[in-house]
Amino acid sequence: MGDGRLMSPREIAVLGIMIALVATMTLILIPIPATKGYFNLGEAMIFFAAFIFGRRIAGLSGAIGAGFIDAIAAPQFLPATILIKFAEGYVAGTIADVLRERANEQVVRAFAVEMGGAIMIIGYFIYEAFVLPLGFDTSAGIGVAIIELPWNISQAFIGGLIAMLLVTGIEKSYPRIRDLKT
Amino acid sequence: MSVSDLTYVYEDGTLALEDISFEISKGERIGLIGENGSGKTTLCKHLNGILRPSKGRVLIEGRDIAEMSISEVVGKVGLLFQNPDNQLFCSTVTEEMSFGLRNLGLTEDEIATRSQRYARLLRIDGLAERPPLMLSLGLRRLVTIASVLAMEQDIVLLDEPTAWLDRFQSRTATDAIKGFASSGRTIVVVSHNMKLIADLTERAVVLSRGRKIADGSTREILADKELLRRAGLSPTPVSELASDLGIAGHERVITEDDLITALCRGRDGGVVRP
Amino acid sequence: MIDVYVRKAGPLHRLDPRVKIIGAVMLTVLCFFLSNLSYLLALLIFMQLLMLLTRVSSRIYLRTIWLAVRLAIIFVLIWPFFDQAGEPMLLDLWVYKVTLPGFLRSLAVAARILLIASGWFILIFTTSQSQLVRGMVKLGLRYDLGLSISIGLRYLPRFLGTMDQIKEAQMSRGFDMRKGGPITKAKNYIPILIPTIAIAMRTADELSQVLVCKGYGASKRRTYLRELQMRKTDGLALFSIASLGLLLILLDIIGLVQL
Repeated sequence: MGDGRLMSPREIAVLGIMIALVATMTLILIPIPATKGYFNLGEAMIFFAAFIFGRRIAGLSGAIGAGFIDAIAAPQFLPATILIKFAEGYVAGTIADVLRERANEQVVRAFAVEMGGAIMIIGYFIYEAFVLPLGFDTSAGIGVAIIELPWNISQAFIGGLIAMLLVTGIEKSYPRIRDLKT
Repeated sequence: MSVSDLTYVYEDGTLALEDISFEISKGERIGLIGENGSGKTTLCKHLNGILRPSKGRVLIEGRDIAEMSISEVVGKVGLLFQNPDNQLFCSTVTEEMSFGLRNLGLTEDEIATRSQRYARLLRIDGLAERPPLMLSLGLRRLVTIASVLAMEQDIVLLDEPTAWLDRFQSRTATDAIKGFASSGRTIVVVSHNMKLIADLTERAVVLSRGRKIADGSTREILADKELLRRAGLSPTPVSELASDLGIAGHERVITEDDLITALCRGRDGGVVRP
Repeated sequence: MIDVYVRKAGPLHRLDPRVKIIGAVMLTVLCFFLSNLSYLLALLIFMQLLMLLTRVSSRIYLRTIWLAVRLAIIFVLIWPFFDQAGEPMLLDLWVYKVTLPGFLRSLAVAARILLIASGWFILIFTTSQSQLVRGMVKLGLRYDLGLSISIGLRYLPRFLGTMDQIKEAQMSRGFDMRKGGPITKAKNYIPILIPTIAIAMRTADELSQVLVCKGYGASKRRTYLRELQMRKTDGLALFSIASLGLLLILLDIIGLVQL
């Protein structure tokens, strides 16, 4: 991106597959018993991509994978989703890269998913509270954003948790995944 | 186990199985054969409760599978899936084999004993600490076979057990299955390999396009060339060799032993010692 | 579940995907400038009429718009807690005050939400995945990125199917995924996700080799089997949408028009 050259076949394939995986996970819905809502595991995959493949793949697969699912299920969020998911993946990936050797791996990852999760929660809050009701002088948007908050928070939290378990699991069970890192 | 009028229709309306009925008695070794798409795998998934029939019932020891919980059914019926990659996820082979055993609620000691025993049986004990996903395809297959057999259920369904295996691995697996079955357990083997079916089973059920078209002794069915042709199946290689050679009595040649017997028969029908 | 493309022929199907993409984007942007309920409703009704032209079945249509409708309803219901200005008061329940102007404003936001959604739905109902990617590439998306997107869309249903098979396989080992609260349920996905990822990675590996074998990147220029051609209708539609939209936005910014 911005480097002028085309992606290598490996990058193209990995990005393509990651887009599919993020989209697949975004479709996995887990019910929250208290409310009647669901959250999805898309976050987990974006963070997973960030840790294994880096910020570019994570950002792009997040934006495109989650974006596609939003396009067919919840396009009212599409502009927000594309930006927010890209940022999540990019930031989590950057943190993981920059802090890689500086601290304990689990701590670094926990921090990365917290930051990524925060971006998601704050991003959607702003979108629901201020962008959607743009032009209307009201704080009703804030009300709606607050209602959606528990759902977004659980998603970010569980997404981060699962991502960390997944990465640890894959590193032990399928270390060959590192060969695909571009 | 008994299956009555089992009919299964996919969500998109395709009829997968139609009016299948048969009984399975304890200790039987049954071969389930048929073309691709004839419904063999679908039938197996009904026998261990993963799929629920659209019509008809499946009973285990008199109880309807539909009314049993997952753990109850899995305690009695095991299923080896065709593709090993659909289930391997642990960081060591031992852990992988323990997964199912833990779900069954066995003690840690019991789990360790069984894992060791079956790993040795399938000759993968040397790989105990390796991650199964990093092994070659044949070895991954052996791991899944070991994992299923270790669960020692009363009825075990094996979907293409020798697929992906090289010659030596195939022999290991077949011997393991034979030994396993000889302890009074019931096995159902799904395979395209007629030689394997002839080797492992004494009864065969033939499926074609979702319907059961034959059910009888393996020897009779594998000798019935017309039936095999209708079902889209080939006879055992030895069978074909015998008919190609035009040996007297080739119609009844199914296994190597049959071939030897037939070849050793003199013109008068007496057996000539080689 | 994910395949909402309507496999019929209609005037909107024939429209060049670039027009539809630009239309959806334009509509989305325009919506954030629109606050006038009458305009929003008029446009919304117009979009639903266009929706008829997509020949989508009512079942799929209702299922697809559900989440947008839900969000719109939440806005309308929550509104009277916050916006209580104007006369006449329709309902006065302590902190919950419904005024007519307030109610109308909430309807406007609801209409905006549904309008944004409608634009994209029309796009996805009438544009197949390959057309979509081709349209984006023609609009300037990098070809390699477009290829990745095509791969992603292609493998999405495959991975969903694989996950189902994996669930069955693990269930056969006695793994009960239905027990437990949300955290447990999420963790229970790990034995499903690890095999999925492993399979996905093997696929990616093979795919990259296939791409090389098929000569990807061998030449700088690439010919296409089906080039997208803009016809007069497409050009006309594009022109009207783009110019109208931009004009309205411009006028609104200057203040000549109150959208």
